Amino acid sequence: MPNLEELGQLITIKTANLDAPASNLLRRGLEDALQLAADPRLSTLLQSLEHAPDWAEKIAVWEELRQFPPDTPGWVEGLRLLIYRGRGWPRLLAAEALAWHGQTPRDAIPVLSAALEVTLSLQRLDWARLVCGALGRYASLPRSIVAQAVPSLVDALYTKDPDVQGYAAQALQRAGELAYPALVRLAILTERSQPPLKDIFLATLKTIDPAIDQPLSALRRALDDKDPELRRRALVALAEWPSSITTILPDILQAARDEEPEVLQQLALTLGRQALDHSDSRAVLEDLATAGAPGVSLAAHYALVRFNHDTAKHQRAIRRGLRETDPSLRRLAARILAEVGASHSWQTRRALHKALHNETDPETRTTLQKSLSRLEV
Amino acid sequence: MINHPEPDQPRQELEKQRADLLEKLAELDLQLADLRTELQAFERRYYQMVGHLYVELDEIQARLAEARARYAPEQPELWTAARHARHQAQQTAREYHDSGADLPEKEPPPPPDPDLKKLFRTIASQIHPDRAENEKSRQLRTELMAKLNAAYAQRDHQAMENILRHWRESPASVKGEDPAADLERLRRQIAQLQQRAVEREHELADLYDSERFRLLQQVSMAQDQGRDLLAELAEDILRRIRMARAALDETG
Repeated sequence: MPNLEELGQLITIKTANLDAPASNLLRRGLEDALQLAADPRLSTLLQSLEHAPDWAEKIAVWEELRQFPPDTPGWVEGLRLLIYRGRGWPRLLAAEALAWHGQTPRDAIPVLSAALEVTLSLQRLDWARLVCGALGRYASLPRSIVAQAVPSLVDALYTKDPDVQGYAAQALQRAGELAYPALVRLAILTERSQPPLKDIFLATLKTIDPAIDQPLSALRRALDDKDPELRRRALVALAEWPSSITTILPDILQAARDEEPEVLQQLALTLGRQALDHSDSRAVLEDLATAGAPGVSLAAHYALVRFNHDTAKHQRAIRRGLRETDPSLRRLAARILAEVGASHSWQTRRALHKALHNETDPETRTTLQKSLSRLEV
Repeated sequence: MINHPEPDQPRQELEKQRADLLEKLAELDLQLADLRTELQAFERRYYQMVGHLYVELDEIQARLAEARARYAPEQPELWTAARHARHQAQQTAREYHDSGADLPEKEPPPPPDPDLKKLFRTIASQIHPDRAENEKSRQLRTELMAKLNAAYAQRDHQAMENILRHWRESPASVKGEDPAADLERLRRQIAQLQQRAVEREHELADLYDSERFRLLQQVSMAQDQGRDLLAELAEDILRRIRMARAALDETG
């Protein structure tokens, strides 16, 4: 487990832009005025939070500081100045104490967002949970700093820790509709979890869009989003969706009008993976197979094989994909052949062996080897 | 959140929306002007009462650090400390000088009376650049708005009246005669006014978040308790100057 000192150092680096300038007479006056005006016990605690070398003492001081009523003279300003004057841990603990009482979001949130990023990257989920909880204490996240806080909170939803996920979802509720990048992940978590977490995730979805009443309606909303990556991720989620998605098939097929090849490719993969065999789906796929970009066309052939529709013809088209000039397309062809190759297994294995023999790109060689072993099993 | 006007909103409703926005904008402009004036006056008082003492304190501390370094040339960390102290003293002196607090003081304006504020709102809502119908009108309005702000800061009632008269007599104050174009212009003006109001609110939030406002707040809170925090601060720095000077004398 990474030590706390490393965590503090990384927070210092991530928040270096907050360092106070060496000479600023107004800030200096403010600091000195606080020394004169603040409660003497408070002044001592603020000093200890900044300088105490002992970890246990620092934490004890922080806990005591959190208990002060925020209207204590010098409390808000003292902690706020610590954000700009202190280093990693004092900076984080001051920001957390301010957030605990919903104070000075413009000062505390940049520190908390940076700390969340660091704690997630170091897998210190205990501190990640605490930081998400602090962000959730604000009644709303100011629009000007949502861009800073939301990406880390969305990342927190991808951890395996249900507590972190729950606290992050609650904090995202404070961002309202600006938390839309979390739509897909929240839909998946809502579908998979049990109350009371399920209720928290659904409540967060509702703050993004009040019309969302269930996970699938969140994905429908994501399919219609202006961000192509979110539309693609919604289709990825639908490809693995555990229950029936036929009710939103018309919304899914709307993606055929998308201009982004990545979205179109994923549309075909999703239709194939879920075997959504329907006349409208087939028409869309036939069109994509003939007129789409190479990756889109490959994915469409895959889906049509999954529909058992003129299988030999479409398998041939996928095998031709192994000879594409772009290695990412060769890898896509290899992956989907492994998935659908059983019915023409010997032809597929022969094509994969031949491709492996000629392949020079290391990543593609690995994919080809994996596909072959999957077919041989 | 900016609410863009609906295309089929009746003209009367749009005009009412524009009038409300102009009133709001005039109020925000007034708040900004008052807050800026108050902060400027406070900042000047702060630099005059306290700033020059920091300059003196940092200078003595730099000299003390240099004297200590001279007496122990075998300790390089003392030279590093002396260089830091000199750098700090130079920065403090520069900041104090840049503040202009050492220049002769102009008579501060009296606080604005309610009539003056009302006049400001009236004029600002009529001449605001976001009501301009063309580039020429925008230029004139921008120029007059700057003059209005200056006249208000000087509490010059007569100059403000003159601005209003100048505006009413100018051709730019006459409305156009193409109803369709006017309606479209009205919609665009509303969108611009909404944007301006958001910008003014951000400016105000930035001022409330500034160091000088926070310091002013601390001073006002102390004043409510019968304390003069700036005088206490000055006294505290003087005490530190005396201590530093004594140490310097001892060092020789």
